[in-house]
Amino acid sequence: MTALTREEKTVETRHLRVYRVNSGDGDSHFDEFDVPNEAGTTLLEALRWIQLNHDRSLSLRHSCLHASCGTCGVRVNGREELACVCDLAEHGDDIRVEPLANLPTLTDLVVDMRPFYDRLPKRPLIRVSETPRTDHRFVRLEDCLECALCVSACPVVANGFAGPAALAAAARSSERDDVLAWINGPEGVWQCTTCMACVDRCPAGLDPMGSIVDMRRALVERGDVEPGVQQALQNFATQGNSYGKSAQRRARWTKGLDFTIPDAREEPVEYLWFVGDFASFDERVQRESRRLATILHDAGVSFGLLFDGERSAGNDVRQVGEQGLFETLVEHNLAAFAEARFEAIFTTDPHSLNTLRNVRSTGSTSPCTTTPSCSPTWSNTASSPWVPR
Amino acid sequence: VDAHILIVGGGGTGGALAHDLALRGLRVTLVDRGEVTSGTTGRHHGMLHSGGRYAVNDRESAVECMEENLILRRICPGSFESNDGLFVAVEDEDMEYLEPLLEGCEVAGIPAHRLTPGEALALEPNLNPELKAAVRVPDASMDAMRLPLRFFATARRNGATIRPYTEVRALLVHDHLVTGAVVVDRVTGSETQIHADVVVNAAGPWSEHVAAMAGVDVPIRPSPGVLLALRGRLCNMVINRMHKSGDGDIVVPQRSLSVVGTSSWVVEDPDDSAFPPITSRGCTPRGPSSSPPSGMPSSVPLGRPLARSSGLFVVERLEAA
Repeated sequence: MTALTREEKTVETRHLRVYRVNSGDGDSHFDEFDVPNEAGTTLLEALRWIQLNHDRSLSLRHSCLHASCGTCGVRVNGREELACVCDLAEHGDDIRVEPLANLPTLTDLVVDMRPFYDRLPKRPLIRVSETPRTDHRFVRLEDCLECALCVSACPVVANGFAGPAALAAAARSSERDDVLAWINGPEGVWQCTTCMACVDRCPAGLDPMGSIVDMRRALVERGDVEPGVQQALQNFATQGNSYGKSAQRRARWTKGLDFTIPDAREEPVEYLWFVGDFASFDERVQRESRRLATILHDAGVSFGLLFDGERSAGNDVRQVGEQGLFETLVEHNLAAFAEARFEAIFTTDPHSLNTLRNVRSTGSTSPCTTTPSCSPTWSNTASSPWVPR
Repeated sequence: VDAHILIVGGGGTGGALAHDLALRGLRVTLVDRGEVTSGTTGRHHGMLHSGGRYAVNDRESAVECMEENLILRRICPGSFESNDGLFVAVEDEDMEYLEPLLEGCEVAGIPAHRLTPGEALALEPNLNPELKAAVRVPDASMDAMRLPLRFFATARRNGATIRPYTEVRALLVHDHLVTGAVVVDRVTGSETQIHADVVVNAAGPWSEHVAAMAGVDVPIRPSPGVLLALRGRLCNMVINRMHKSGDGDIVVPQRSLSVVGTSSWVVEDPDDSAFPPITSRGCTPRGPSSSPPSGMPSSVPLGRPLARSSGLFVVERLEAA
């Protein structure tokens, strides 16, 4: 074998599987192409290369080619991207390209944007920005590109949810009564699961979920929430849990055990178990809590509870937007942590884990910074009794 | 029977023409081989010219710019930022352009106001604090895709037929007269004829190719260029270099981006937008990165920064080494 000369050097390629659908009969399949890939080749360049050199029937939408117009959104290996700034090199050798989800597909990679645009009527297209050193006000275009990547990524749009972009836009005119009624309605903010997919995908670096939670907060402040949510918040406020059960009964699940779990406020333990509402009060999950306690006990692990000192970590309270009540719960738990002696906290409850580990409440530090460490590994082990809600 | 106009090309020219002709009651069909605005129209930096850029060397264009500027603001409210533009002098050499600029603007009917460095910095704090003078003109940022979309939508409402993904395969010529086109629906592959009283070639850099189908020579020099799209708004106003037009002399804020432009080179085929050897992929930041570009390639000599040293504003001119 002689070395390849420069002329004979083979071009590096990537394998693309591109979704195709005929608008006539609706039959869909994937077409496969090997596209040339140099450093920095984008998916849009690759798709246009296919159009120009192999298959002129491939339909896709594009305009600016620099992440400004928001027209070339597709799903790349299941994840939403603007094709124009999608670097082929970051997506492996076998790349699956599909149209955005949650919008009707017209042909191939082109979706019908009308259902998306139709939900933006309450949106002010322009906004005012100010320069820091003068009172001069420039009227400027919004940051949102209207690319619908967030709508495609959102898990609840299929249930009739208006979607992150439209609601974030509505947030800018939420002083209007008709907008307020809409965001509080069945398409509105209460359907959001705060999964953050929209924040993750937004090519403009925006935070639509934050706007949604802000609107919830505003609605809660006005007392403008549905009775079920109102009742749950009432339960958190009076008993510190969503069940409305007495805080004294929080550790009653331990009654069936043939050993006693230490109270971390009375004797030092290595691990403090933050049990959480569901593992404490739900009868099915209580069984799992007892199983884990038995395993830990049999394994000789030093662990304890806060018993009636524990309150809900407040994950749902915060995401509903009741910031004041959330702060109250945090303060109560922080006081209980301060009273207890332990080296690390663990929890089997993912909602508590999220709040304990990730949330910094205003006015106080995250609970985790007051303790040596949180131990997320516990909730990930095979023996975890976590039961999804 | 009303006259039927076939427009080839769904860019800004074709869209505005379709709108205008539909308003006049003509039957209009517009075809584009791809989606509307998928050619050069969507790719410009999104600036509504006041004409200031042409005031010194191209008076006729400057006058037209200002007139059209006012018309577009009137008929497409909400499509533009009310941000205005600044011509900024950074070097002594730039100051030689000041008087001709002010005079040219006056003659062309462009409202231009000279600002002191302090006044300019108050409006745009990121400007190079060493600036010597600035002139404020009614430039504006626009959405390069959605402004023409308004023309397409209005034209369609007024009866025009807009057919994206419809490619002209041949022009019908009878007795030295173009009478229509053979078009292919790119989605279905079906081929049909569209007969028309007038066929308008609005294909931009592809118009040489379209004209050749009728045996007509329209010499075009397709000239792609590089825009740098940087994450974050460095300025609210359109910032121009107070200098005769050159590469890398403008920054246009675009939503959450700053678009720095531009450069140009000549190609044979308008579909060839590959980078020439002089530029490097390393200088075009891609993707929603919050970090500044990794740096300009060493083969590109850098000029003086237009702005204080943010590291982002280093492009003054892209020139062959």
